[in-house]
Amino acid sequence: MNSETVTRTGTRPGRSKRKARRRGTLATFAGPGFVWLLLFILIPYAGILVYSFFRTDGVDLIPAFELMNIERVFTDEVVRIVFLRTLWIALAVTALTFIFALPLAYYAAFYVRRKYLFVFLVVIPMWVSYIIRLYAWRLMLGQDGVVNKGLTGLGIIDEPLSALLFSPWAVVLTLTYVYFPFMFVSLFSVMEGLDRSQLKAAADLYASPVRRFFSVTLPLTKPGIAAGIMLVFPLTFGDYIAPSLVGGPDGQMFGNLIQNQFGTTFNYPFGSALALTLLIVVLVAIAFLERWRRVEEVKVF
Amino acid sequence: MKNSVDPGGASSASGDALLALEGISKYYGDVRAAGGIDLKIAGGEFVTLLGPSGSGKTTLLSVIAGFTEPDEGSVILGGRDITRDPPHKRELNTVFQGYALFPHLDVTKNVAFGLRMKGVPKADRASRVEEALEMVQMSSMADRRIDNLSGGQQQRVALARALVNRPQLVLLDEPLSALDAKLRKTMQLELKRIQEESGSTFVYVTHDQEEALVMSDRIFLVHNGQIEQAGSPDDLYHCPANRFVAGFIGRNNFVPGQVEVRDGETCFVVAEDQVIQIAETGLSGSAILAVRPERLEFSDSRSEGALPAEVLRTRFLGDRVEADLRLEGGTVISLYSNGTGVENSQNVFVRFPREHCQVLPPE
Repeated sequence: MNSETVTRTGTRPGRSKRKARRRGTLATFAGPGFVWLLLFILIPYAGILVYSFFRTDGVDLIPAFELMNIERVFTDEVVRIVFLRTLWIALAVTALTFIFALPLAYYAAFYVRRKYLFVFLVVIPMWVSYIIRLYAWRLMLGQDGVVNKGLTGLGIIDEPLSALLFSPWAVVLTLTYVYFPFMFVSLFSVMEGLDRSQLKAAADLYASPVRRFFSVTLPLTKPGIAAGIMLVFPLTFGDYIAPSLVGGPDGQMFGNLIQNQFGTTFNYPFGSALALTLLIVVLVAIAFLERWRRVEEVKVF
Repeated sequence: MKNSVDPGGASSASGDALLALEGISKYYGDVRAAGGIDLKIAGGEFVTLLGPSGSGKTTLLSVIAGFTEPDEGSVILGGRDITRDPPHKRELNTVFQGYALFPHLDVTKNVAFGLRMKGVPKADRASRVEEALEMVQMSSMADRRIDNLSGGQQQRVALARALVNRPQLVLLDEPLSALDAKLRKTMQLELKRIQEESGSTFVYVTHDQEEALVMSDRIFLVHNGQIEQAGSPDDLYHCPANRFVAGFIGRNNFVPGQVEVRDGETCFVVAEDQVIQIAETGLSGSAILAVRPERLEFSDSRSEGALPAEVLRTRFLGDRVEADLRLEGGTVISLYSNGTGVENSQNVFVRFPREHCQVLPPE
């Protein structure tokens, strides 16, 4: 504390020179990252923004300044249905990963002796290709999959359920499975670093284990919850591989809509307008989370 | 080694004790943190568990608070056995070493936490929080965030958070160790005032003997999981039970020798021609003589109770001069004087005042 006040006091002649040098160091370290952002994020998005005002003639792109694509985003019935479906799927996946990850992260942070081995075991599936894991789910949920075989074998159902695969539920299930480790690691890393003496203090102040969890542990885990949601919600909202592999016609998501414009109908301007919509939804969600994370106290329960 | 016969310690805790530990033992592997500790604390006392680090004093506090389960023995609070009660069911509150305030709550909500958990109605809560903050002089900071407070202010909030619950017993785990020396001195007096004003019983853990002497009604000196001595600060300073106590509280000199009776007088014989007259003692044979540096005096001649010594070095300490002296047997002792000119290598005589010589059993 003392040294801080010492360095803060007084302006010395060498200060501006030092400042300039610091700016030089900053450029050296942040420079490559900034160039990356510019080349691969900012410029492509600027391109998408420009494209969304273009129009098409057959498969040809005509530069123009038209608002019809953006208008179509707000008026098209299919867009509305798919958007709402995507929203509920993303919210459901985020909620489910949180509900499953919270107790496990708590257990790992407070009760597991070899914590990092435990985390490693949870994270291992992420080392297998995303697409391979989706194919695995396809096999398990299929007509002759292990779920249907198991249920018929046990006599719970007479005929294999075809609705298991190719439905929004299959998308929710597989995406929950895929993004679970992101939520788990976010929650665990914060819980593991919690100051145990604060939890002891809560116990000392008459808080039972349950109340301790809800009034101290969980509020203090808020940065981890926010980080987990920030990872899982945007990734789910923008996913188009899981719905195309296990979603079926009723399980198509917003990402598929975009993919179709670029891959099937070659309507780049409309695809760009949809992509912008997706970006805005995700940014709004992140802005809300960022505010929530910073608010001093939130009544979680 | 264990000393439970100290009369001063036992008498002041007699009657109905608020807190009693009965035969508390706790082992961590082979390490003994508590080896059958008995102690009794009366209501309204300021008691300090004093000891070097690793002595077991913190374990003892943790056993009382309920965070550590003892291997043996029982904890009795207000006549009820609470040994198996979890921490949240114990009618006591702790001021933690790093304060352990809740960073997501402001000052008021931190202080109100215990009342909220207990289900005290909202209206009562507000007035009690206000009262507690006033007691620690933090009323003006009620809406502050915890990380906007200085160490001393956090300390006060931690104290208010405990006191607001009006517990029978307040445990304090080295609460001043993170503060700078000057603030620590102020807080010592402050803590004592608050304890007296609130009428609560304080059990204070520290390794700082000066802190213990300043604040405590009674001190339990803990060492190797045992209580070496219990008594008032005065008792521990002036009548240490053994060499450990004599050495831990304040500075002390130790001179080995023999207790003998010569011409009807009890004497402490350092060497054949070096004899110090001492008060009667129950000890005989090999013993250790303990004399505090401020009690020794230079002497002009080899008068009664004076020993020859050589000055090794002197140090100027502002309000006094400290001199290291070598006795003829080779034992080095130190002496505080007001600085009358002695020089290095000078041969001097040191007088051991009879009333300030304590004879302790040998190691």
